[in-house]
Amino acid sequence: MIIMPEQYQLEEDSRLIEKIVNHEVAVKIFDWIKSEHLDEIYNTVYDSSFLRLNDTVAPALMQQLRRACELFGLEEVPPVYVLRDFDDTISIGGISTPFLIIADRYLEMLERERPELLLGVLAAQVGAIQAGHHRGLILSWLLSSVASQLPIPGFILGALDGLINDWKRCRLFTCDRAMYLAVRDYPLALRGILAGTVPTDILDNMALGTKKDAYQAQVRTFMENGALDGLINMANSFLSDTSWLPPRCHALEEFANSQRRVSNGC
Amino acid sequence: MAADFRHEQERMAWGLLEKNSVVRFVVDAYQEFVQDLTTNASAKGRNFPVTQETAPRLYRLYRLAAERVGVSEPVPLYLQMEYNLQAKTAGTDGDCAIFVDSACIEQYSDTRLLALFGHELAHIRYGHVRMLNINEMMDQVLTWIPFGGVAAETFKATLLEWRRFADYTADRGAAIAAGSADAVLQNLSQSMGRELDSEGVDAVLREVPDEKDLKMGVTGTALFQIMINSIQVPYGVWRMKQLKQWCASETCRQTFPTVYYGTRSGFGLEDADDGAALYEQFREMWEKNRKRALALLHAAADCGNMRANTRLGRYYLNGMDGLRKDAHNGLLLLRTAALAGDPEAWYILAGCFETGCGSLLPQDSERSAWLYCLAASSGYGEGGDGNLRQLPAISPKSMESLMNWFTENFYGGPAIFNELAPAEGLNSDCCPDIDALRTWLWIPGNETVYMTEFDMEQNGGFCRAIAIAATGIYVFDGQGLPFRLPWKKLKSCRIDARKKGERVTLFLNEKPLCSYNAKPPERAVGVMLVKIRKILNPQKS
Repeated sequence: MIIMPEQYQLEEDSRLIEKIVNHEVAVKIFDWIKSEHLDEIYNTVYDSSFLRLNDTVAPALMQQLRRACELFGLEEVPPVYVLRDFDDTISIGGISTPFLIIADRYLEMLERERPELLLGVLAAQVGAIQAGHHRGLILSWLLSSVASQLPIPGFILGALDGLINDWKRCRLFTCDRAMYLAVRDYPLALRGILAGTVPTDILDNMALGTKKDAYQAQVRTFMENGALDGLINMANSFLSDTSWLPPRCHALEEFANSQRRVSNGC
Repeated sequence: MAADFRHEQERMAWGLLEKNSVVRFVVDAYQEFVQDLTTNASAKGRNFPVTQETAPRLYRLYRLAAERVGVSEPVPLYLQMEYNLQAKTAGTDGDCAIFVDSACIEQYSDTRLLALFGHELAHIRYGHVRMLNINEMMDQVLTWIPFGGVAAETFKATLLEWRRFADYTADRGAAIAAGSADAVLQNLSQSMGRELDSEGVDAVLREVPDEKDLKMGVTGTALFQIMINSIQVPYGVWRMKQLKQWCASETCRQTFPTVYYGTRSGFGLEDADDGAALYEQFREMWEKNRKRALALLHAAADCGNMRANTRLGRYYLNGMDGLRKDAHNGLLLLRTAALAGDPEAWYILAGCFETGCGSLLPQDSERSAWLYCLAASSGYGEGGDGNLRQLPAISPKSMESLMNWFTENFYGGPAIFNELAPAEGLNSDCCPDIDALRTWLWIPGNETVYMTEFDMEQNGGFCRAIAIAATGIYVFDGQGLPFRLPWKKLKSCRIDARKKGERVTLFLNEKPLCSYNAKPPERAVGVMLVKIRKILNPQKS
């Protein structure tokens, strides 16, 4: 049974990504990309400068990626490139054909974990691709990296930029849900959110998703203090376009509970 | 000077750069800019210099890489505390330095370090330094261009295109320095995020589309430049593909056979590590498949097999069908075998010293006689041990009084002196490395060794060794070949060290022979030599 975007995509995400890709500025940008053959240039840069993983050099990853694609009905397995980086984790690139980019340290860490965690992390990305995130991400990249080259005045780009920032703050909730549906294991999905941000042994001690979950208190404190609605948090969130961890964990818990209610026939 | 290995497209792209008037303007401005600033100086000031004294192993590898790549006067080398597994040449052509990330020293083998150094040295050999650093400073450089706009954009594009090919050239230099493409491919893949073995390299390269020149407009060019300049290892995959192709080419086989045959992955020998077995396979294959046989021989030599080093050294020294004459490489291989104690290698080297080997090896009848004698004493060739008998020796009685004087005057003198009669000399009970040392220093088996000082490398070789023996002093200073000075030729001896624990330089016959950090008791060997000199010729002391 294929997992469809309607099952995991956050409504806000769905609304915003639809608005973004149909925005007149975005349509102009995509037409411009086509006319300048930028897709070919973009892919050539990656093919020439990044190692593309395959069954010989990363068998575990490729196996789980194929599983993830089957689960989400993605017919063509996206290429995966590795990047030498200490900070990054995994992201989606590509213009017309999406691909994945995974940081070497992050990959090494995942390869030491259970295969299901690797599946979950990859499923999050595959689910994101099926929900159209790669279109929003490439627009985000173009606006931040090559804005001066775009044939559109800066002040007009600002409106689209704002939309994209709003969308990026909520898209990871969709990814987390996709991860959960792929692994159907709430503690594991929580681990997938935090993996790469804390060392593995600390992650083990946190006992995520269990009665002894050491992170839950922090999540509760954050949510009780007004979450992102609080003034300070709102101000801070304007400075960042990334979803914060406590709301993500809280949202995942709610989603997992709702899924359990559905499967119990409630 | 090593043969030319410049990439053909780099040569053409360089030609275009040289003809470009904007480039000439920028280069002149850059030259003035770099000379005015102290960036290079401050970079040197805050990083760790690699010298013979501070890091002998690294320095030796660096000098070897420079020799192989054809850079006669290597520029200063520094270590910087970084974890990026990279090296960089900063400055300008004629005034530059190489900076290596410290993580490389921790993680890389000798061969991979040779490859790392070779890449930078190749850039230096072909005068790339200026252009590479201009590329790094592109945003600033563009402000110098008086009319900006199209001229600037054309300059950027031309430089970026050249840079790709410059790295192709430098990768060849890396392979030449390492004696193999395998180390270069490992370095490249690891710096791109995943260290690949040869199977992995083949699997990745199989799926890579062929290089092509993209038809790019102004916007496409700008996008391309923005992306490429943000990547840590631009064109890394294409570089791997280019290098593999070159190392398997007939051109490489003719001009750089050490690289062609040394790239073990090209012959499926990457995992082979039994030198003796490889040597046997070489012998069996010799009449059936000459190319494969040579590959096996190179692999056996690379694994340290003494016979393989001698055989290959002889082939390179004389040249043969399928292997271009390369006296330099031949002598290096023979040196390796000779230091490991191969009598045939001693015999061949004796012949080389007898007649001289051009500028590589000056004629040295003393060394020639010495080596013939050594070879004969091991049953190879003729020469007997007459050479040794002709040399005057310190009498055992004199040596005994010397040892007593030494232990009385130097607190905590070497324990070995307290444990044996000087007449017997050192043996493996009191000095476990003495047998290896004797082999390394080419000390004849029947000569007594009384005292030594040495530093060993991790691989069991010696990076410095001195031995006081019955007939003279045997010295190895970390480079070249062992040196022997018979007592009868010792005219003067002094040591140059001012303070306790300071680096000591030993002068024999007013020539600095070697420098070392003297172990306690300080300056032991040096002090003994001075005393011996006094005993031998008290009036001249």
